[in-house]
Amino acid sequence: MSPKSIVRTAIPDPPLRILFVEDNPNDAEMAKREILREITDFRDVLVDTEKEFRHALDDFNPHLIVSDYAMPAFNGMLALEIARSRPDRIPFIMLTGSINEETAVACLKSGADDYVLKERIKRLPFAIREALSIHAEQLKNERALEQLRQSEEKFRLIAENSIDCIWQLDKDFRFTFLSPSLHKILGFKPEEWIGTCIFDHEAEKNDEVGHQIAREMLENPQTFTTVSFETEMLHKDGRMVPLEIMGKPLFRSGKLAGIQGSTRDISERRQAEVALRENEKRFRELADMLPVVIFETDRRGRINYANHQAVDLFKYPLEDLVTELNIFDMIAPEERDLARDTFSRRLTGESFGMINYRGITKNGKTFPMLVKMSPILADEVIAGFRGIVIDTSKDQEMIEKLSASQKRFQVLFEYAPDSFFLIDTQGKIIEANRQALQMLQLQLADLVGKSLVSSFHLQGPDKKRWQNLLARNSKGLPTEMEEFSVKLPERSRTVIEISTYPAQIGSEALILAIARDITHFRQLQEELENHRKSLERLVKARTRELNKALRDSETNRDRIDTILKSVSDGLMVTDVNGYIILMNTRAEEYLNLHFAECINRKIGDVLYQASLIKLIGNAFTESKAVRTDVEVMIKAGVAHVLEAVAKPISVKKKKPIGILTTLRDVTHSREIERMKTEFLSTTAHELRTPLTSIQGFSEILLTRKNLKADEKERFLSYINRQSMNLSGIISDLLDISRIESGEGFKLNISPVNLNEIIAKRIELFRISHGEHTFITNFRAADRPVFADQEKIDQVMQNLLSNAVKYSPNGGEISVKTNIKDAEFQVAVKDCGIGMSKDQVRNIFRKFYRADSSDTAPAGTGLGMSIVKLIIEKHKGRIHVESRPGMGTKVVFAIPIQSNPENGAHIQGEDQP
Amino acid sequence: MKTILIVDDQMEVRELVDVTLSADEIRIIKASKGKEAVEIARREKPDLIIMDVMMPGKLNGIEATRILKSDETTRHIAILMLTAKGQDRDVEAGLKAGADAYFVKPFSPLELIRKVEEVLES
Repeated sequence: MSPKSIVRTAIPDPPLRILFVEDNPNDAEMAKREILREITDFRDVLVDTEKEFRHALDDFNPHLIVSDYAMPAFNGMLALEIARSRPDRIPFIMLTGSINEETAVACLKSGADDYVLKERIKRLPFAIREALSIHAEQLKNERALEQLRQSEEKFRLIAENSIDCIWQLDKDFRFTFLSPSLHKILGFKPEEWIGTCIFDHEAEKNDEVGHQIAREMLENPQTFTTVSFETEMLHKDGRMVPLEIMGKPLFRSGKLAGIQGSTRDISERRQAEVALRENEKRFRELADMLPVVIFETDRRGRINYANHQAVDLFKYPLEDLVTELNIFDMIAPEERDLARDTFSRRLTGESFGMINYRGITKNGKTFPMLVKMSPILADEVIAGFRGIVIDTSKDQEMIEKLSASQKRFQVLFEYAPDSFFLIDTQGKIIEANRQALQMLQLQLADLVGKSLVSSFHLQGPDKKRWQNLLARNSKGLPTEMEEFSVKLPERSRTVIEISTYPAQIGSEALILAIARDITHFRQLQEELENHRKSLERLVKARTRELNKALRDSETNRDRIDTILKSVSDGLMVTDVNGYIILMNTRAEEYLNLHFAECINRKIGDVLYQASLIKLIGNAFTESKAVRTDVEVMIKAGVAHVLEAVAKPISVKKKKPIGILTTLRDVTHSREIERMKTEFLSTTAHELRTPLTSIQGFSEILLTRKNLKADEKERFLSYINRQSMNLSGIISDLLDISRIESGEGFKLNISPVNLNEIIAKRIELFRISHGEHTFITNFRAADRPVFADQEKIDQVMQNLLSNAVKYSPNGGEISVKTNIKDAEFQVAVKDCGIGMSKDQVRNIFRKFYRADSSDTAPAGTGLGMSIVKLIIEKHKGRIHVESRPGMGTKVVFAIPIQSNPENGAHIQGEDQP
Repeated sequence: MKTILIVDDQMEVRELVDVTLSADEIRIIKASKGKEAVEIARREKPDLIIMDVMMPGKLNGIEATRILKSDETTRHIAILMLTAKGQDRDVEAGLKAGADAYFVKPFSPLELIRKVEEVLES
């Protein structure tokens, strides 16, 4: 480079300014001359004092200082010192006459750029050149360093204050630098990552991306300027942090030296993105839910977005709407120009409210719609429009319907049969229907504005009531009907019924008052009330009559009841249909029923005695009294026999109105009858039995010629004993008949040797009863006893006869007599079949036969009752002991001393 | 030779009938109870049974008659009821039981003979 050019390049503002510090102007001249040889473009100033020197430094601002080393007032070293104390390092050349090495070194050490010996002043330009270029270089370097430092400083500032983490990688992708923000983003301190490879920290799933880029970067670094990608890295605390990594390759000598980049935590961005998506989603959903069409367009009116209502309304598929169509396609052709005009005015910022357009569907169908649009701004510029479309065709229908409905209402109102008044909250009439006008005999014009109160001439309490109605309505409540008695034109007093209803019509609070003339109705009510009252009176009177009749009939019934109760027979009355009408207590007992339960029920339902039911039926069908015996169980399983007589009841020879049935308990009498019949039957039988022998054997004796003697004798003995038997039976019968008829029997008392009587009777029995053995033991003394001989004989006959009868297989019959305790005791004992307790108990009953079956021994059943009677008449006593199979013992005793009524008439007692 | 079985609980009656009917060609068997009567009848197969109605024991005359008349082996035997009960219903009961004839006590022996002949001939 030429010196000039060097100077030019080294000096920012030519010409070169040189400051000479020389006390010797010649030396200065010399120096100048030398410099001129190579450098022409320069100025210079000469100083030789410190003061001047300093001054010149400030004023002249030299590019170069050439200073003499030694001077009287000033010296080069001092000048050097001063120069070097300044921040600008002005090149300083020491000019010296002579120098030794030490001095030279000292100059250089102190900061001189060079020294030139005065003897070699030719070197000066060269030294200047060198000094300047070195200085320039130095400056350049300094500047560069400064810049670098500044830039480093800036970088550091940025790096430290950046939210993003700024880093540098070497060519092996190891971190050489990481800004502190690493800690904020990933929780690691930069120190922890310095030296580590970036890929050590990347999240697994994004390995590929990073590695790919890294590979490409290595292969073709020049193709990369800046690369950025999103990834995720693991925060120190374990969570994944979404990051955006930007990197720029650093080159040195054309080769990849490293990478500089930044890492940004994009969590918020991510969240914002998600939120945005959410919002968009919500918006879409909302848009789809709303019943209106929502759309977005760009500046040209092309549709970017439409909700599905748009599809429904305009009938275009969604894809067409958002790709091919614009909003003007949705407007009826005749209105399109107007629409476009309005649209362009919108673009200028003019705003409009809702505009009515005629819309058109894909099918060409038109309909009324309302459209409202508002601009979408992006950076304060209109990017498009967002709007809604409301299909008002339905509204139109609605309006028409409403108006039709209103017309109907009008008709109803006008022609209603009741008077309708539409009044305001103050009670002033706004409207009245035909009926109302008729009622008041006025024209509508006369009524409007007047109060209802005055139209009906309501006063005092009526007026108050009316006002109460209004008050209720004002609270929004309807009212009940209120009656008012009013005077209407050309009518007498009228009663009207008014009810009021609050009605909100639009924003007006009105009241609908309905008035009905109920005069006629009220009259009817009154009549009805009078009618009712008179009816009540009639009913009361009638009731009194009925009550009286009831009481009478009750009295009668009580009388009848009393009679019925007192009758000892059961009485039952049934009607023609077989329903029980009456039943007295006795009948209840007999039939085991309660009249209360049987009344008005059919006899077939309550009675179980078929014979009785049949009887009553027969009485009715045969129309005459019929009779039957009915067996009933009266309580405790005791069977009774009732004689039932059913008689038809007829009044005055007309058809029977019912049947009267009488029930009489004939158990006892039937029993008696039965016993009598049986007695008679048995008696007849008893009589016939001995007669058979008597008749038979006597005939044999009379008719047979060739009988043996012993046969004859035997037959005669049979006849004899049977005659005795017969006589005994007959006497029994006679006794009984006497007792029954009330005659009783007499005792014929005389002193009697009872042993003798008894022995005689026993003998007779011996003769006639060979099969039995008769044993006697007369321990009693043969002394007389006052008794009826015949009767005691009768007693013996009976006892012995029974003993024989009830020991059919023969056996022993013993008779013992004894006197003890002033009594003559007789015991008759057999070893026969004996009797049971029951039979023993009943043995003395009249007609009682221990066994009355066909297989029983013969007997009338009278014997023992007569025996008992006889003994009792003798003031004696008798008892029977017996065990079945063990025989029977009968013991009687009569007092010896006592004197029974001699010949007294003893009335027969009715023995049980 | 005809065999006649006399059934009556009373010894006298048995003897009376025996005496009445005894003859050379007639063999008389006697029984005093219904049960006995049935046994003997089955065994001896008499030509005629004169049966008293009223007898003590398990079987009276009517029962015994019923049994004999329903038994194939003894059905053919003629039975003459003999009883003091002479009322209609007793007669009816007897005949219903299967008796061939009825005879009332007391009776004339001669009349009994005639009746028996009548029965034996039929």
